[in-house]
Amino acid sequence: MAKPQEIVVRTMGDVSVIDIKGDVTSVTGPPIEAAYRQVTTAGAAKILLVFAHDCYINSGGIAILIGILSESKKKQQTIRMTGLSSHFQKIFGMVGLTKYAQIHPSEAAALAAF
Amino acid sequence: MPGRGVDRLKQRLKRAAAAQRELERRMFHLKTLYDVSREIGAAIDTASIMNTVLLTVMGTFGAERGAVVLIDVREHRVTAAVHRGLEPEGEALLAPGVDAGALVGRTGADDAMVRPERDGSGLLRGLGLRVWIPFTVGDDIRGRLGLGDKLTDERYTSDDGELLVTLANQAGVALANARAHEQLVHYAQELESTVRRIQILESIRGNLAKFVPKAVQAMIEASPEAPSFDKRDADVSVLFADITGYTRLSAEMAFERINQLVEVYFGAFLDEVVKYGGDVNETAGDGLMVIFRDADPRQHARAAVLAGLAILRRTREINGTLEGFFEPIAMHVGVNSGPALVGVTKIEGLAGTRWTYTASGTTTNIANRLAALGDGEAVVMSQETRRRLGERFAVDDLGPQSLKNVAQPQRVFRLPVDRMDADAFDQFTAEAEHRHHARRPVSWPVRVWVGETCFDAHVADASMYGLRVVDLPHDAVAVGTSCRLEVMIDDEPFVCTAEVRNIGPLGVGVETREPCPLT
Repeated sequence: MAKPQEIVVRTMGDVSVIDIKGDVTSVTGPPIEAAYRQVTTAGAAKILLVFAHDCYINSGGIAILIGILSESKKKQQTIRMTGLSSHFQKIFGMVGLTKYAQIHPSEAAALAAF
Repeated sequence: MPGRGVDRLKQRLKRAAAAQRELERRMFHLKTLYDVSREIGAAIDTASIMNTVLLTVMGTFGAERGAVVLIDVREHRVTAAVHRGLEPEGEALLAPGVDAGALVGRTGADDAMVRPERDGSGLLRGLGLRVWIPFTVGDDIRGRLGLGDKLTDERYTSDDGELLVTLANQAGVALANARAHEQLVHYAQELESTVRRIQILESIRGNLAKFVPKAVQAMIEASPEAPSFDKRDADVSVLFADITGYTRLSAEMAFERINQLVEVYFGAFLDEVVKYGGDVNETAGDGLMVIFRDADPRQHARAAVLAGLAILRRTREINGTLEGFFEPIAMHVGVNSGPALVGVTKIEGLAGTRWTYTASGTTTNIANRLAALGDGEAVVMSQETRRRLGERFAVDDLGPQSLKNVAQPQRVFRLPVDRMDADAFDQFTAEAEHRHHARRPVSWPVRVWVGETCFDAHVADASMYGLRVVDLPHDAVAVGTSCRLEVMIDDEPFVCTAEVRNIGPLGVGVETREPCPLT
């Protein structure tokens, strides 16, 4: 059964942080896209995606993230990610997501890397 | 030597790591197949299925661009498309309705993964897509699943091709199911809409039937496509019934009360008119014009007079019921019989056309004038109507009377309603029953169904459309009651529907809808 999704947007200094809890799929992806558009409209240049440790991400969800990263590349934004399990870190690497967004072991490490 | 061993070990570790990555990739692909089966297997919405498939394959292969397109291969048009990451020029190539010739034709076969180097049309390059997987949705609809370069810059392998073909085929099956479902929903909506239209038409028909004379309804039902409404010479009896002093009542009473009054009385009159087979031609506030027709000229004259008497009797009854609420009214009733031009009169104006079914001519004019001679106590009739009635009932001879707009004085008769007690009325009614066909005595068992109730009785005599039923409780039916009959005629059942036309000491007379199989 899909876990209920919760998307929270916050700022840490000049970094816009998007907290993602629950499943990330083609069905639940649009709220993440909406959060990305929200921070982009607000002028965010540095964005951190923080996945909850039990997040489930399928291919459809990955496609949503690819779309966000493609858009960020055009807008010259920097996106980093954290909170991913080792399994999803491997998957992200396999599909090439890590080419456009670095994965960090913790939120603090990610923020420090901006 | 230890150095060579370490190198071999490193090589093995490298191969093991590569094998593990391949294993994980394949597991991911399997998971994709599972996810896509689960997500689109139960989906019934075409757009949702196309979107899910597109996102799934893009996520699985890490592609920045992708498209799922449906093409009508007969029309060579794009019917639907979803895409992500395309440039505006590419989006335009996949807009619904655009010529899809390039997609169906030049990209090649329907069962192979097409690569840009094998795409003579250049379409794949135009769309920025690297592979183009065909799939089938139906005889007329083909699908195309396109993907752009991988983020990893790796090439699509034959393994990738197998997975893509499998996913595309799954999409084809799901889309075919969705299409079937959408068609079913469409048919259901059409059916619902048709049923609704029929209900509206039935409602219109039901309401129009209140306005359209029975004779006109019969004409339309006999020839719905081109009913003949031409006027023809016919022998008729025409009845006019007017409320005495309607103008005074209108001035004294509120319009709503007048309307209530007319509805109560005229509703009852209509029952009587229908019972005796008349067609209400016109109601004009204070009056009714009714046409009676029959192959037997005596029959329609009798029916008209009986209807006139019934109107007078019902007026008295209702006057009694409404005593204290309304002033009693009186009806003037006149009947004349003779030739008339019967049919539809078309009145055409700039604002439209109005048709009325009527009987025109002197017979009608005289009937109208005779009603004016009425006094609320008797049916006033012409000499011709009186002749057709026969000599059994004593009528008052009023002698020759001058009638407005009638050249010659007319001899006028009057049949007072009081002169006929109930038994005489019933007897007269029984005699007036429709008898076109010879009646002969019989002794047939019959089951009479009135609603859910069944009565066992006997038929004492029969004609082609008339039966006299005996042994039937008199309170079981009333004049006008519809019933179903199961008559045993020489051990053969004859089932028919019938309407009670009269009830008297000799039994219950019914008219059957279906002809009785008399031998």
